[in-house]
This record gives sequence, C-alpha cells and structure tokens, in this order.
Amino acid sequence: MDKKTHFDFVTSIGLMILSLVMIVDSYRMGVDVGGALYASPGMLPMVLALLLLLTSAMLLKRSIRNGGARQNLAGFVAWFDIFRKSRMAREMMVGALILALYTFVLAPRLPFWMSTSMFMILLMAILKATSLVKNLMITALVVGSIYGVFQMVFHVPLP
Amino acid sequence: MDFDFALLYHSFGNVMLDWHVLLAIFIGVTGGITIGALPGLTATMGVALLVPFTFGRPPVESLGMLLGIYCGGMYGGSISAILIRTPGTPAAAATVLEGYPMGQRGEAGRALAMALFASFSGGMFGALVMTFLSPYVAGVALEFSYVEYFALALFGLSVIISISGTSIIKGVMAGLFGLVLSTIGMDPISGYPRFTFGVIDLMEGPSFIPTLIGLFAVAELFSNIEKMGVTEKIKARIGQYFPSLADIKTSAPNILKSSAIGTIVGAIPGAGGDIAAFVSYAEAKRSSRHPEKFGTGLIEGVAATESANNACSGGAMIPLLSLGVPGDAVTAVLLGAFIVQGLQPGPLLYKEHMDIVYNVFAAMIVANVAMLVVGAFGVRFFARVIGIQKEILIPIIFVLSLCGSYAMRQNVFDVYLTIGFGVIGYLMQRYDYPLSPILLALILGPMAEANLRRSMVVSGGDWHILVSRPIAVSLMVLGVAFMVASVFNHKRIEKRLAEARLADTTP
Repeated sequence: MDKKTHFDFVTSIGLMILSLVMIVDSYRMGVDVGGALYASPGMLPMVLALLLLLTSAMLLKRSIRNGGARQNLAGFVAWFDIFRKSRMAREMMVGALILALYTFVLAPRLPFWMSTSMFMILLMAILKATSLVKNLMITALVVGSIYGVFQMVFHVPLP
Repeated sequence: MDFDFALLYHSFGNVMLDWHVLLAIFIGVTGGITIGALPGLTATMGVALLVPFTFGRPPVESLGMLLGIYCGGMYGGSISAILIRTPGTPAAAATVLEGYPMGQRGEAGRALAMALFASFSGGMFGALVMTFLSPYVAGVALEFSYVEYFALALFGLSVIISISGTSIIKGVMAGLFGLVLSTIGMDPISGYPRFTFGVIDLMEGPSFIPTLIGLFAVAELFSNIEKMGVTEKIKARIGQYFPSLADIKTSAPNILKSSAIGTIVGAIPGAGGDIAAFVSYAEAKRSSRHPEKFGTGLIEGVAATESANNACSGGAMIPLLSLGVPGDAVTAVLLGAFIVQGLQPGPLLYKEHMDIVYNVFAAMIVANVAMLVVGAFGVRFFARVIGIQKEILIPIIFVLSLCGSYAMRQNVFDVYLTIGFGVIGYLMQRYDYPLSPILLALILGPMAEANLRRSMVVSGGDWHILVSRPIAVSLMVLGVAFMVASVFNHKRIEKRLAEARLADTTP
C-alpha cells in the first residue's frame, strides 16, 4: 500500500476535527454579532467548514477503501518509524533545528551579521557543502552583500 | 476606455531615460534568468523573495525589476532544460523534449539561440497584446457592480479544479484551506475578529508576502534538501548567440501561432506557462509536415514551447491589471507587489493611476528587450551558474526568505509565519496537495466574500440579486462550465494514464 494513503488517512481525520471546530466557532460568531445570516461574519467560515468536512470525508473514504482503517493507522506508525530512522530525515531535522535556532534564538538577540554568519556556516557544514575556508569566504561575501545591498542601497530594515 | 498613445510614448521615456529604472530592469532580468536556470528555483520564488526588498523604491522602479525577474525567469528555465535535461522552471518542461536531443547532437548553442529568440518574440507578442487590450477590458470592468465582482471571483476560483494536479479532491481541499486562511482576521463588514485566538498580529489576517515566501520559497527549499544530489557539470560548447536566418524562417509560423496560444492561455486565471508550452508543442507537432521527427531534436519544437511560455507572461498580466485577478502564480505574487506600493490592480487603477499602468506596459516591453540583450551576452555565464551546488544556495535563499518576510512590517511574527507556512507547504507538496489553489483562494476569497455580502446588504438579503445582471450570470455559467470541463478532462487523462500503465505491464 502507498505510504501517501496513510498520510491521507491521518490528514483527513485531522481536517475533519478542524472543520468541526470551525463549525462551532462560526456558529458562535453568528450568535455574538446577531442580525441576518447574510450579514454574519460566520457565514462564509461555516460554508467553508462544511465543504472541508465533506471533502475530508471523501478523502477518508478513499484511503479506507485502499487499505482499511487499522492497516492505515499501522502503516502510518510504521512509516513514521522508518522516517525517524532515515539519514535524510535526520539531516532535515538538524537543518530545521538550526533554522529554529537562527529564527527564535540568534536573530532576536545578536546583530544581523553575527547571527546570519553563524547560521550559514553551521548549515553549510551540516549539508557538507564545501571546505571550511570556502564556507567562511562564501558566508562573508553573502552577509556583506545582503547588508550592503538591502540595508544601505534599498534602505530595507534587516532583522 | 480609449488607448492613449501619447501617454505610452511618455512612459517609454520614463522607463528608458531614467537610469534607475533601466538598471532595475536589467538587474531583474539577470536575476530572473539566473533563478530560472537553476533547477528547483522558480520565477514565482524569485519574485516572492524580492517583493519585500523593493517596497522602499518608487513604484516604476520596483515593478520594473519584478517584471524583469518574471520575463527573465521564464526564459532562464530553457537553459538547464537544453543543457542538462532538467527544466529550470515548470514552464520549460516541454522544452526538454526537443532542446535536450539538440544539445546531445552538439547543437546546444543553436537550441539556446532559438530559445532566446523565441522567448523574446513570444514575450513581446504577449506584452503588446497586454498593452493594447487591457485598457479595453478595464473599460468594461469599470461598469462592474458588487455582483459582477463576486461572479468574477467565483469564476477565478473555478479554475482551482484545472490546476489540481493528480487529485481533484486534494486540489479542492487546498483551495478550501486557502479560503479558510483568507477568513482569518477582522471581518471586513462587522469588524469581528475571526480565528485570531487572541493573537493581535493575526487581526489583519496572515500577511500575504510572508505567507507567499513560506509556501513558495521555504517549502521549495525543504524539498530541495530532500532531493539534493550531484550537480551536473556542463560539457556542451556554446558558440552561437543568435539563430540563423534559415532557423528563424523555419520556426516563424510556430513562433507566431505559439505566441497567440501562450497569450490566450496566460490570460485564463490559473493556467500558466507549463500548460501553454505543452499545448503549443502539441499544436506544432499536429500541424507539422513531419510530426514523426518530433522528439528527436527539432528547432521548431524549441521555438514553439519557448515562445508560448514567454507570451504567457503578457497574457497573465491582462486580468491582473484590468480586473485585479492574477493569471498565474507569478502574477499573484506581483499583485502583492502592487499592493505593497499602495496600488490596487483592477479597473480603478486605470482611473486613478493611469500613468503607472502605462509605465508598467513600457517596462514589460523594455524587460523583453533587456532579456534578449542579457540572454545573448550572458548565456555562457548562465550555463556555468547551473553548476552551483544546492548545498551553497539553500542557506543563502533561507536567509533571503527570512529577511524578506521581516522587512515588510519589521515584525518577527511574520518570520514565524513564513517558517510555519514553509513546513505546511513542504508537507502539502510531498503528499500531492497543489499549492497554487491556496494562492488563488487567498487573493480571490476576500474579494468573493466582501462583494457577496455587500450585494446581500444592498438587496436586503434577496439572493436573486446574484442572478439579476447578465455579465454576472455569464461569468457564473462560464465558471460552472469550466469546472465540469476540467473534471471530464481530468477523468480522460486518468483513463489514458491507466491504459498506458496497463500497456506497459502487459508482456
């Protein structure tokens, strides 16, 4: 069975729950504001939530037809386990971690040139892009160019 | 609305005599060709990345640069398609069919020269049609009321089915997801906060540009990390910059025909350069005296696909400028660029900022000329650019993406939004959910909702108002017909693919 079917199975259930939450919230909007249905802020979200519920149910039906609920769930768990152990997944997770570190920790605390340099050197090293000397040269060139072109020429504020 | 030749003449002066604007266009074209030539990076990504950096510049300068990226990106895709059999952009996928065999025969220079000439011809054709046609379309649209605008948005949304890719359900779900996103924030009529969960930064809804950068740049980077492999070295010799007169003569009918096809396809909301190129290729093969030779490396094939995908850019600008409805993903991003400059594309733009509209016409034409110049003299450089490792490019584009999303409002929340949408976009792409419907829905959703509810308020809740105006009814009928045709077309393609699979497995 295709692993995309397992993902469809899980996604459709997730979206069905989201649709139900949206329906309740849209109804509440109508009650809060009052007035005619056509003027209610909850009208369009309610229609969209119903359509999303319908399409998610169709996707769920299709994924169950292609393998059954239990098999799909077991398949998803097995796929997640394989994904967790693969080298590519590990590299991506490390990359995502560096990105998160840059966005949430380094950029808000350090000057742009310093946080960006650290991020680029680390990520290129993880991706085994080039030698350390070239890595440092490329980082200096890129950070200098971005700072020069955008901050000084275009007057764009950098993080 | 009459065409103003004097204003167009003045606009050419504004674009060509102001060195800032001219330089911006040339930089845009060079950047666009580079981005287009690099497999995995698209013109949509290029424009989305640069929009935030241009908002501090005057409108003509920044729009000129972005139009340069658009035109250059469309042509740039053909370079890697011909040299390494990997289309730089989806629009160049059809160019591989004839361009790569030519390269293998040692005619890479000849194929590249024709790709450039055809791209220029197609681009000019599309730009001229845009220049002379869109003021008339805008003139008609000036008469539109809320009802027609609602119908127009519905028609635009009906295109979602045709751009759904392998699964209609998933395409529709992606479109619905985009529509749900468009409802986040303060309700346009009552001011009630919807799905904001108390987050002040969400009161105006998810910012358009950071969302775009997340979906089209960061998501693409995640995919690129996954597909990272050995970068191909270019072995072909490129010794020709312009096509021979004999090649031009052979390809002229196809260039003309494909330019017309590309412009028409481009003007249909949602249909982009990839569809235009494949339709033109099929037409070139059908009308050829020797269709059996197609696929072996025919210069007419390269001419057909490249003129079509570049003509598409002019075609896609027609609904954007005159109706405020983007023709493809790049023009959807360009819509954001107009808004950033305080300009709202649509018929009112012609009334309030006629000078800017004509400057855009002139900039588009000049961008195509710049593409011819930069493409001819820089082809060897662009061929070498293909060899840059993705491991080096990815960190650079990540930094540009995050800087871009921050620069718009100097708000860190937008950076978080970009990363969030990057992850969502990556997962969606990986599991066959198309991203373009989200973009279309994000733009057309608010337009549909606001005009529907205003119509209902005006009519006092009488739903008959929606079918009371002939243009609105025609647009809605057209939308339904388009959806039905797309579903049938999808089923036909699925049936053919199943038959082909069966034939492959039968011994």
